[in-house]
Amino acid sequence: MALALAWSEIRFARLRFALIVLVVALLSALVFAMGAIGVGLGHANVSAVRALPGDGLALQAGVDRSLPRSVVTREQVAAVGADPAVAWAEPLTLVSLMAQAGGEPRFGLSVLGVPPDSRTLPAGIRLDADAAVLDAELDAAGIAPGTTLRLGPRGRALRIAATRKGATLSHQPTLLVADATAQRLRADLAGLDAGARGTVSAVLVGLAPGRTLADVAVGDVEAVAHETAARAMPGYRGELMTAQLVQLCLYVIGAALLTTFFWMVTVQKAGTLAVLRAAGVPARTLAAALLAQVVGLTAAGLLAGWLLAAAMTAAIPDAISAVLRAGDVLSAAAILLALSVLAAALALRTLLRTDPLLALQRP
Amino acid sequence: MTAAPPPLSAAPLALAGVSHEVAGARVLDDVSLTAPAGAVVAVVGPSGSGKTTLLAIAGGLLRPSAGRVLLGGDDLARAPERVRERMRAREIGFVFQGANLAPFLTAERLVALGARLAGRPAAETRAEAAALLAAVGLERRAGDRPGALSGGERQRLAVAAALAKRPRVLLADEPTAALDSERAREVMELLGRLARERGAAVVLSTHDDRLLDLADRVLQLRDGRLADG
Repeated sequence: MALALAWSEIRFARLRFALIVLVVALLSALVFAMGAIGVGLGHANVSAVRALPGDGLALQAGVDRSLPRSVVTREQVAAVGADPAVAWAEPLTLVSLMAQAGGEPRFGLSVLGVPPDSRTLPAGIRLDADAAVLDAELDAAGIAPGTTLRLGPRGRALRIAATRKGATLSHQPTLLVADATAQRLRADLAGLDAGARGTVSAVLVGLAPGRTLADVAVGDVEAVAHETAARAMPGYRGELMTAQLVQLCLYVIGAALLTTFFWMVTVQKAGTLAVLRAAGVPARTLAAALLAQVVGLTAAGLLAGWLLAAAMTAAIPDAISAVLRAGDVLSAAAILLALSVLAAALALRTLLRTDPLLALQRP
Repeated sequence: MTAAPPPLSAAPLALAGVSHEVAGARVLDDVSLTAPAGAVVAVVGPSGSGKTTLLAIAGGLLRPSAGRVLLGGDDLARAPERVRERMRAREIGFVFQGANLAPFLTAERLVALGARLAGRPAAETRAEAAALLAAVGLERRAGDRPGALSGGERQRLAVAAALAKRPRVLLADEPTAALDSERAREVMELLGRLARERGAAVVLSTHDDRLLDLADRVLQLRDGRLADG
């Protein structure tokens, strides 16, 4: 009986309930989009770290696990490789610089220097001194395999041998180059004429069976998981927390809006509720009808909000990173649904306190 | 003076020594009445005489300050709210002033709701609703909501919805107030006919003296006290 009452009322007051669905849809689209932008920001900042092969990174101790601040000597690289807990180790050098393709505008790049046969490279690719593997994000700008890039203050030329997807660092596309090339580019930046075997930023670590990163014992080096290094990237926490704060504000605004809507709708129909209660419709049936309406309308709004958020994230410019993941949407939707049910509590209280005696008053 | 009541147990509804006070003012004073099955009892009186309060107490919507309200074997005045709610669902039909009905239900659903509340299976309620709508001349308006009906049609629909429960008692508050003479008479005759056919006791309040010839018994309520009219 509760569902029939709920559905009859929705059909009767289509416009009123459509407005509630619209508000839920707009609100949830904003929540989902903010979540997507938060994930996108994080992704653009650290996806290259997350995509690294192996079990973790050995970073300089005492730099808060920050890859850009870490400096590891060649001796430490060798010591990590020789550690019994380590199955394999590869040096990793990070250099941030400007690049240019032909006469196009210059753009920022995060260069990662790796061994020529590194596990980070796509299958079948081996890096020689003037080859590089670029993040596929620049495909849209017409920079594809075969293109020559000029890098750094000396305009050192590198040929794009291949591209790989989803590898950005500090909101810049990454470029995999041979370790020696990375050292030369770093020297170019510093205005030095350095050799090819300077310090590196970190060591990629593959663990021996049954060992953990905590077993890696090399002086002044700290071995951490990729995710730990990713979360320690400069700006990562700030960006994530900003997006989460905006999301939290939207949740609070949403809770207030939904509470007001459901309460006002209930107050407006106090006379009808009184008539139904006077006729003997149990209060629990009316409460169940209200909850069915709240859950049904919110679910419809959330579904519409999901579609809207998908359209929004597809339409926003490439410069804004947004990644709409089903898991994140479902989590946010569950929170919004729970908030809706809580918002209905005030309406429920009003409903249960409706005096059936009101039915005897003039309509 | 109070109307002489027949034995309380014989009537579907009996009020015994009912008094009610609101903010220190006595609205009903030692009221006793019985409503026999199949009979229409009209309570008349000026505005503010306590007619609506009397119906609210008789229907279990309001607890009296003193006295008993007997519906079958139960005293509604003292029954817990859960029991009063069940009695309203199964034993009491209401026709409210101005045919106050749920605006979002169609005529058919409103009547069927009464039958469902009375505990009859869903499969029976459609047929029951169709029969009752036909009995009040609204068979062609089954799919219409109250807002689409005229005042007279709404009042007839309210009667059908109340009777769908097959109640022992039907309480009607000024059921003809918003109707012209012809429609008012039509609704009163309908109430009387259906009450007799279904064995329900009808208690109605009215201030329309032209319709009192249709009541089996007329009681005068003045300053909260009841007398035969």
